[in-house]
Amino acid sequence: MATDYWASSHYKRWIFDRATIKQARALDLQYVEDPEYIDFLGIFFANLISKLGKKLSMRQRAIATATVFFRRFYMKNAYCETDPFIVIAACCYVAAKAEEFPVHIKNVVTEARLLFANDEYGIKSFPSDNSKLAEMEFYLVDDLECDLIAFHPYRTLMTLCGREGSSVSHDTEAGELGAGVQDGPRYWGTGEGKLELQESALQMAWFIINDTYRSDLCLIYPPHLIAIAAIYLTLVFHESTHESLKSAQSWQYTPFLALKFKPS
Amino acid sequence: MVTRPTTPKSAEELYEIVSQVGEGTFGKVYKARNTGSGKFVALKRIRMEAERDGFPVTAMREIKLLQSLRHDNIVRLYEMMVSNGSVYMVFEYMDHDLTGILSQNQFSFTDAHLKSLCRQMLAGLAYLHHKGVVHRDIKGSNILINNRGELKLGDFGLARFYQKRRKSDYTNRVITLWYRPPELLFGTTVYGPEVDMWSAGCIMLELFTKKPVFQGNDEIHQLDVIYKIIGTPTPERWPEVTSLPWYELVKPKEVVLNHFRELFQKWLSPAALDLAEQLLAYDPAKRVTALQALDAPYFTQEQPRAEAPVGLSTLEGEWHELETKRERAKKRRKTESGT
Repeated sequence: MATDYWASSHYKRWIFDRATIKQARALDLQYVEDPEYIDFLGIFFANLISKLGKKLSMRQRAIATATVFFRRFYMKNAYCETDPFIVIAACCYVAAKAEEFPVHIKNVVTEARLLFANDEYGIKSFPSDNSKLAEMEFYLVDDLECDLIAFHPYRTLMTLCGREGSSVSHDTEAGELGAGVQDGPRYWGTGEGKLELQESALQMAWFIINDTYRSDLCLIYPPHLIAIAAIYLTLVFHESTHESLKSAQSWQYTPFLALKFKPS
Repeated sequence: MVTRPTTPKSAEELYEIVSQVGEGTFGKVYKARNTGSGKFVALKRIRMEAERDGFPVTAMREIKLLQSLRHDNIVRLYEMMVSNGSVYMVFEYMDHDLTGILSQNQFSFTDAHLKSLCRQMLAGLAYLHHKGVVHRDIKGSNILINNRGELKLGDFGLARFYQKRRKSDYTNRVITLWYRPPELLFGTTVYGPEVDMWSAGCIMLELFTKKPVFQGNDEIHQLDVIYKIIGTPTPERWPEVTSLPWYELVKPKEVVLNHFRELFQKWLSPAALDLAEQLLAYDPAKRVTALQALDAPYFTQEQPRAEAPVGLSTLEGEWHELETKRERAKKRRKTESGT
């Protein structure tokens, strides 16, 4: 089944080991005093994508997809040989289309110019011509090898912990791959065996997932594993959840005893 | 240096274009030969230069959809290719399309063949709908057939994912007029896979009659043509029709009775008539699903059993709507110059 992760290009072509990721930055490394700066750049660019995405009122998942596209693009290109700012704009533009929430190219150009030109960044060179962004989009899609599907941990999180009426926006959006698809018997996604998390804990797990995009994790681990790790961290860091687990005395085993499985 | 998987050859070198075979939603389709293996493929060129907004969102949708679908009755997208400022989709080559093949007289289909074609179409639709995809442009030229008698659904330029549990608001400007279901003609924007099933019903009849059955000139006329055959919608047949957006504007002026069975009994067997009638149910809620249709007595009980038209390999030439259209235009010119 190709709507599943294991059959996807995400799994087959876009998961790397750390050595390969390091190798991709070889050229950039020559220009920094401390290799750690490269990681800082990664954080900086991820924040910019998130800012631009919010200005374009993109949903969190589309922003995550834009970030994944950005990181995939820089598996084949060097920061020092490209203009990351136009790449960022192109990533947002393509991700918005790929996630069925298209924004007009003119808006992307306008918002990107405004954002990048402010005092914090001082980038005044962003082209005002739509066609430059369209051109960059073409190179981007080429280097992405037309693989426009990215899987995200949000879906696993909401499948395991989601609740009706939760304030965390977890509605599977129209256009999401395989949303509502059920292949054969399974109980996840059926509403059975959900992990009962407090609303604020769910929120925390969601934010932890947002933060993972500031690193290379999305190139290294499958999304469901990232989601599980985020849930685990939440059980540790979310105070009242942690307290209630402790008082239930299940802590000595594993927080996952909190999973109330009811296999159907 | 960065290790990057390189495309060994550009599209021009790897594929040699043989001829144009079609016109997709957003670009021409060519028959091409892989210069290495000698195998044929269909190349669909996505026009970029005309797009001021860059990569067309419909193309992006089609790529995403096809990359996540794999079924015997869905056309295979082998790969994507970028060359000289164009993006190409590389498909498996299909010798004919339904419109083309129904217009030729060399090879005649038996009832078993037609049953097989109908079954394959429904199997493709059942898979799509199971995957949460509505095709939204089922018509003769998008139903592809090869010389092995295999039928595959193609052109996903209008297709999209839908919500299984919640029906969303979509555009009603989809599906070629002749295959467009009545609820869209009445202006609904809340719909699901049932729209494909109406089109499938139209195709099923077309298999037997060899030409599209509901040939309207515009939206209003399209409804009139439908009324003439299956009658006007009554509250019993379709309770919700009166609440659809354009009902007051386009509602039937007079009551027409259902003539469906008398009109088509000379073409279709009783069980085939039953199935076609269920596919062409007015009320989308009562329309048969692809999965239910596959289980209809037409397939499971009535003789003959479905049999793929493998004899198509003996057919001379390739039959696509495009050529059929050109042929027709040529003939028209001839008769015009003759008079």
